[in-house]
Amino acid sequence: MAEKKQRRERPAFNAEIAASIGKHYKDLQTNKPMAYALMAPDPLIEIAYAAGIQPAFPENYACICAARHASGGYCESAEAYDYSPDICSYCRNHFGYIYAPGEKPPMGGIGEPDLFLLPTVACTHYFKWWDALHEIFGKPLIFLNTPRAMEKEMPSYYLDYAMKEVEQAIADIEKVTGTKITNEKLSEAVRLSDEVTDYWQKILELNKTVPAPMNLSDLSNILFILIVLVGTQEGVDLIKKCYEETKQRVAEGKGILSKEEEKHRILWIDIPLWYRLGMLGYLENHGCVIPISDYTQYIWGTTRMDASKPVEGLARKALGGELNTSVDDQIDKMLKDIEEFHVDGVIALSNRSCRILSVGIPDATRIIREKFGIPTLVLDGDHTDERIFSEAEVMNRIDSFLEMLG
Amino acid sequence: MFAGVDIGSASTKAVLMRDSRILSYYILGSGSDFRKSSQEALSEALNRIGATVGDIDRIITTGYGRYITEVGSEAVTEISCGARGVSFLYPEARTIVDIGGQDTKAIRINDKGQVLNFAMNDKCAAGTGRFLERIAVSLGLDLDKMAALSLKSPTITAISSTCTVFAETEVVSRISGGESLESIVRGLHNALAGRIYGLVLRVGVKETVLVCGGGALNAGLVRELRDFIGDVTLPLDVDPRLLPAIGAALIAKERHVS
Repeated sequence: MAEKKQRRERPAFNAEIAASIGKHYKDLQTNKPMAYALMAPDPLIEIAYAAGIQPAFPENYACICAARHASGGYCESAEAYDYSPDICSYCRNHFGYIYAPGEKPPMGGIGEPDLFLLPTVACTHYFKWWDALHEIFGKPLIFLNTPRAMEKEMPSYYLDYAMKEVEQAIADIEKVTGTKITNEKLSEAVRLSDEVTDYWQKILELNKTVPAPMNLSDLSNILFILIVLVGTQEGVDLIKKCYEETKQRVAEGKGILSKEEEKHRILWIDIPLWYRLGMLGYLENHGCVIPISDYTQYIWGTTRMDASKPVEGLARKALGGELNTSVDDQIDKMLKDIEEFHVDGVIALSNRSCRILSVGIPDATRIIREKFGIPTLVLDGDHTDERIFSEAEVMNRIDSFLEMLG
Repeated sequence: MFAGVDIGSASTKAVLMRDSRILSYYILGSGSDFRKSSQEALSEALNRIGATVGDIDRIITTGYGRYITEVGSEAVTEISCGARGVSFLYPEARTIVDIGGQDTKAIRINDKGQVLNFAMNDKCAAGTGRFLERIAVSLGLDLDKMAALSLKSPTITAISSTCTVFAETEVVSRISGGESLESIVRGLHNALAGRIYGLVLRVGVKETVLVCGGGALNAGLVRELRDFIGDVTLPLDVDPRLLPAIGAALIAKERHVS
């Protein structure tokens, strides 16, 4: 556990993404109208950009607060206002920030919204979280409802319904903002978003290479583009750079670890521990890289969209992604990718805050062990709330897992 | 001669071995200074056979304090060491239930003693030996007395709380309600056994199930565990707390030879 930090050459695009994140949080202080949005595969983001709305993401802000070790305090503040510790720590972080932001909130804060964009894609708590914010700020709330798709083959009426919801959301946003969203603007946002998806899928494909050109932290950084900048030229330009650099790294055989150093390739299940990404460095020092996680692989950038049919494309986006499918479907994807990514070990976070990603972990790890005979490790923790992280216990489990890998 | 030193949260154990035979061992409370307890345990084990540190070819440390010690520089987790120690002494074991002071571990191993899977209690102490230790203190009893009381009771008072601190409160409330101390104490052992069983189910129960760690010394707990798991084996010819230290000494020998 106690060992020297080794400095490794990280992909240069991380610095550009960091700069873009900085710019985004500055923009939140000035750009109007600004809407709180959610980190789902959410079609409302492209619609927002087409309408000239600046989206802001309290969940992304929670990740940043966690990385800067501010989340524990914000969660504590939220709990002091009677928000239960059983509520997702993304929510508690946000409520804590709203009620007690402190003198120097990370990134200068996330600003006050002019409206709320609420999809039902992804997490079940979104509705009540946004409902509470709607009460607190007294600003309009635009709601886009899409059905849960439990089977791989969706009935056609799901798509019909989702398209009607997208059309209604467009009309509602036009009404609230007084801005006409032309078909050209919407098509352009969808085209740009689809271009981001295209690059993302190519990037993920490149990470099958041994040695892996990117680790989980690099993939998580690129997700900022997939979540925050979809539908913008800035997003396309940035992810194009990520792709080109990754392609170059692969061509040069440059990995996070060298081919000789890379002994094990790990699948991470669930959300990374945002306050403890340094754990990846520890794993690297033991010859382990994480080229794939269900979180980075199956949620965003999974659905290609036809810019000539923007409403249909956006409806398909809302219906796609891991958070809107069955546990069986999630496991099938992992089984396929374990082979394609040459994975020989699994670390899963049984995430107190994210039951939607954690509920399938016992089945997934059991099935993976039975099919591939590779070691699996389940950690107990929380993606944002550092207070329930126990360093000694988690590292003890990691060390045991490393010994199992051999 | 090879040494294994297991610096656990409750106790520190040092074992000296030669030719796969235990020459000496020593167990003492870990206290708050792991450096001191590990040195003392090793010194006492050496003193018992009139040997010195210079007689040791290699030392492996294990347990929570494995990095916080100066007796050795090679550390292996107690999961791997426990599996190695158990498979050496009980080669038929496939499931290990190690009930320690801070951790309870369920470990599945194969016929070579390799770890196939393991599960540990989360950071709550309710599934560990600390659960009973805390409540013993609040009841003014020692653990042996608690176990004896538990074995006397034909009935089990349900202790519903899964939190050690709340369970203490619940015990007080049950006593005030007039329930017998024996039945309450058995209820506590039963509650702990239930949590441990949940952990064992995560790795799957495969015979032979070997129970070790300090918890294996508690007859009251073992009875309740048998109710949940079925047949379990206890280490009879060695202190059940020593198995990871034995495994550490065996690994020290294997590494030295290779």
